Parts: sequence; structure tokens; C-alpha cells
Amino acid sequence: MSYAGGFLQGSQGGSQGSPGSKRSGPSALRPVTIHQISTAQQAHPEAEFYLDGQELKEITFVACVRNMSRGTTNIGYLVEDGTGQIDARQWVDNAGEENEQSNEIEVNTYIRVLGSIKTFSGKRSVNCTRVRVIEDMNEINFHLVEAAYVSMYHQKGGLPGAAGGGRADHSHIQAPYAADAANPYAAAGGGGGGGNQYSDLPVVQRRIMEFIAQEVASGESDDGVNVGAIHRGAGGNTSLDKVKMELETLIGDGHLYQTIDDDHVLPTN
Amino acid sequence: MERPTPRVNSARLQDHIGKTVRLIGKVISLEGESALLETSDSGQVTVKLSRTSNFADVYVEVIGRVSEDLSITELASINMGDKIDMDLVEKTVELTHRHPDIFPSSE
Repeated sequence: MSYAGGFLQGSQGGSQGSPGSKRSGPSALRPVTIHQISTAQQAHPEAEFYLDGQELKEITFVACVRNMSRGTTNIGYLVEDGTGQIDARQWVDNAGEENEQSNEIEVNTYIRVLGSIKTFSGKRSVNCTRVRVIEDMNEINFHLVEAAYVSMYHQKGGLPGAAGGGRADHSHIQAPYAADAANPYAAAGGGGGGGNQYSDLPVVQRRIMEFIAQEVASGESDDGVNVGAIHRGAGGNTSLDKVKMELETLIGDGHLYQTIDDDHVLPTN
Repeated sequence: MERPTPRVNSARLQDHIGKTVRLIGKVISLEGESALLETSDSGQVTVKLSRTSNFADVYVEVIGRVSEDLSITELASINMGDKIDMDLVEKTVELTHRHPDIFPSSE
């Protein structure tokens, strides 16, 4: 579920700032409900949208299509997610593959939308950059949990090490994010400033990242930490192949990069 | 559907009498004009079907109005396939009611 971390840029840069003052980058993709789109704050009609003190630029949501109109240059959707409804517009280029995607979309199907908020004569709508049909229906509920998680994150800070009162309220939503039944709080004890920045990772990946951070801190791994050493130091009962797989995931997610060869890695932060 | 439709389980129906809700359930039986659903909190709810109703899958999401007798009169519904994680549904229902700023109630 490390994919979820991608929405929270602060979680990767966490070592630089205090947990309470994390800011998402300007291009962070934010999962929201339609109600949040409708209630996002805007200083004046041309201004940026803000939600929980964060600028809303790229957004994503899951909603049900209630009406559709196909034009020659765009497709209009009226979408609704149980929290509100909003118009969404997707511009189509005739040769593009977008057409194939949106051909599957019908009224009364759930879709995942990526886009940005627009205002036209006082009415908010969504300009879609990407639209696809939901195939695994659990994604609908996943999205709702994720939207709540990210809001809580911005309102109360990240999970471990967050300012005081946030914790109790987070505890009930941790489960979907800890697929390996790991407790995100388990990492909270040690490490001071940088010790909790990997808490949103699955348990094996977190162990790997913590081990690598430790090695780097010891100052003997300037050329990168060896994969074998990671396996011995952080692998536990995990096989070498599995450790390599996890490393690939961490590299793919931007936590690590390869240094002198494929068998040596360093953290990106 | 301009108004919000809160996500509910069987226990929360009594807080929403006369209101429109949405509920994911497993179809237990389907006869004539009504269906019986098992909800995410392992309760049961009777759904009075609309004429255009099309329950085809194991799981369905019903949008409908809650009657005094805690049955639901279907307004619309969507087939949800056969792989719904009902624990996730139940947790989501409870989560949404704890955060009205993100998931508003019906009025």
C-alpha cells in the first residue's frame, strides 16, 4: 500500500521539517470527496483552492456517473459520491487513447477521476485529465478512507510523532494502511526527528529503510549499502529474493536509488 | 441526488428515517418486489425494489429512502460484483459518520 504514500509528499521529506508543519509540494495529488471540492476555500474567484490549509491543485476522487453528454471535443459527466455532486468535463483529442477509456464509461458506473477544480460563473466543476472505470469495487471504500486519512494527516499531523491529540483519532483508520498487520506506531519510539518518516511503509520495507538509514548514519556506506548486508541486517526471516523485490519497490517509489551497481543503494533523502 | 446520501449499515437506519441513504449489502433473497440484504454490520435490511431494479451481483449498493419500519425503498442501485470486503465497508461506514466535514449527513 505504499502507493498511498505518494499523495503525502511530506511523508518523504519529513526529516527536514517538524511533523506538524509538513507541506505538500505544489503538485501533490490529493484524494478528496466531492463535498470537499465544494467546500474548499478560495480567497477570490481567480484564487487557488485551499483545503485543510493545503493548496488543492491536482485532485482525485471516485464517484458514480449520473449523467453523461458526449460532445465532439469533450465529454461532460455529472458525478456524485454520496457527499455531493459536481460537473466534470473531459476534453478529448480525436486520435487519442482517452476515447477508448471513456467509451467504457456509462451512466450508473463508478469512475476514478484525476483532474483539477475550475470555477465558471460562480459554479465549481472538475477539469478531468484522466478518467477510468472502477473495476475493483473495494476501491470506492478505499478512496473514502484515503480521503479521510489525508485530511486527518493535514489537520492533525502524521501518525507517529504527530502532535498530541491526533493519535487517538487516527487509530481507527490505520488498519487499511498496515496491510501486514504492522502497527505504524511501533516505529514511533526511537530515532528522534528522522525515526518515524517511514512509518507509512509496510513492515518489511520500513525495516529495510531504517536499517539503511542506520548504515548511512554510521558513515561507512558512502558508496551505497550492499543488498546482502540489508538482507542480513533487516531481512529477518525474509528471503533474499523477497528483500530484493522490496528494494525494487522502494526504488520505484523513490525512497532509494542504486549507486555503484545494482547491488548497492542509498536513500533519496 | 443533489443532497448527500450518507453511507449506513442496518444499525444506523433508525437515525435516517425519511432520509435517503446508501447501503452496500449482500443479496440474501430476491422475490418479486422486495429483496433481503445482509449489511456490513451483519444485520438484515428489506429493500422494496423499484420497477427498473436490476440486482444481478452478489453485492449491491442501494440508494433509497428509509421507511418507518426501517426498510429501504430503492431509488437507484449499482451492482458491486462478488468481491466486496464487508469489513472495509463497515469500517468506512463508521469512519464517514465520525467526520461530517468530509462526509456530510443528509441535511
